[in-house]
Amino acid sequence: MPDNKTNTARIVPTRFSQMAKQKPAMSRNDAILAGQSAVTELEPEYLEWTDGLLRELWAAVDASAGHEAFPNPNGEKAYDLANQIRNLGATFEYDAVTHVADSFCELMHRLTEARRNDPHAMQTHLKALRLVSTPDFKRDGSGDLTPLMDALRQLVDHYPEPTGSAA
Amino acid sequence: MARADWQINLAQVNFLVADENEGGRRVMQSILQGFGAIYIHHAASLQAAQDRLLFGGIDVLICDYFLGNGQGPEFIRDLRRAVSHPSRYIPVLITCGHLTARDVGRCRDSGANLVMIKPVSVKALYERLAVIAHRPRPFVDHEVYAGPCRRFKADGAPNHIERRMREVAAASASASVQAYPKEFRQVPVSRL
Repeated sequence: MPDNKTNTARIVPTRFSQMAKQKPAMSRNDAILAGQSAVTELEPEYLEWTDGLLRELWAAVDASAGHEAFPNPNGEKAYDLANQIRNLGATFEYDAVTHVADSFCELMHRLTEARRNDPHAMQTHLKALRLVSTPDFKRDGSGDLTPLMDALRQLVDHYPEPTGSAA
Repeated sequence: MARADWQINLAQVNFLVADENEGGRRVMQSILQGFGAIYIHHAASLQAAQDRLLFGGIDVLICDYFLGNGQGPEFIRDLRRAVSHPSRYIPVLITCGHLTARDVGRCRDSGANLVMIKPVSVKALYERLAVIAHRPRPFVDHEVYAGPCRRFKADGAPNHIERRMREVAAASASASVQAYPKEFRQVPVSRL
C-alpha cells in the first residue's frame, strides 16, 4: 500500500479487479441483456415513483409561487425532486421525461442565479412532465419532441445562462 | 483483448450503492443483479455510507453526487485521504444528474475512478465496471490530490508539458520543482 508521505503514483491491486477478471458465468452480451430485462421488470414501480415525485413537485412549485424571489426552500426542494425524476426517466426509456425534467432543473438553476421567480414557467414544465410521463405517451406520442422542447427552451432562455452553467 | 470484449464476473464482488433516492438504489441494484452480482449493500444517507465503508468488506462504491445534500464528492475525497481507512483504495463510481461546470470539476477532483451521468444506461454501467477491472489506473497519493490518476491515456503530459509540476509548485510555493518526486509523474501502465 502506498505511504501517504511519499507522493507516489502506482497501481494498487484491488479485490474487485481480481474477482471481476475471473471467467464470468455469462457473456458480456447476456449480462447486458439481463440487466436491461431487470430494468424492464421495474417499470411498474418506476411509474409509481414518478407519480409520487410529481405530486411532491407540484406541491413544492405551488408553495414556491408564493415567494417573491429565489432561492427559497420550496424552490430548492423542487429542484431536488425534478432532478430525481430526470435521473430515472431514460433508464426506463422515458427519454422525454428526462429531457423535460432536465429543462426544469436548468430553469430552476437560472432562476436561483438570477434571484427571480417565475411560477408560469415552472408550471408549464410540470404540465409537460405530466404529459410525457405516461405509458401512453411513451408508446404512442414520443415521436418528435422538438416543438415541445423548443417551447420549454424559450422559457428557460428568458433568463441568462449563469457563469459555471450546466455541463 | 479489445476493450469491447472485456467481460466481468461480479458474483463475488461486494457493492455498496449509496443514494438517498430509493428509485436510484433499486434501479442500480436490479442492473447489478442482472450482471450477476449477488452482494449488494445499500446506504440511504451519507452517514450510513460512511459507517458501512468503515466496517470494511466493500469492493466497489457507487455513490450519488447529491448524497448528503451534494456532499458526494467531499465524501469520496475524504475517503481517499484517510490513510488508514479499510476502503481507501476501492474503486468508486460517482453518479450525478443535472450538474453545473463547477460540479463537474468537483467530481473529477474527488478521487472517483469514473463519473457516470444519470440516467444510467445498462450498457454504459457494464462498460464502466469493465474498464475499472481491466484497466486500473495508478493511485496518486499527494497533498493536492489522492485517487486514481486523472489521465486516462498513458501518453505522458499533454503537449509534453508537465503541468502537474506547476500545480504542485503553486500549491506549495516553498517547494522547488526539482524536489517534486519523480515517481509522481505519469508512467505508462505497462511499465508499472
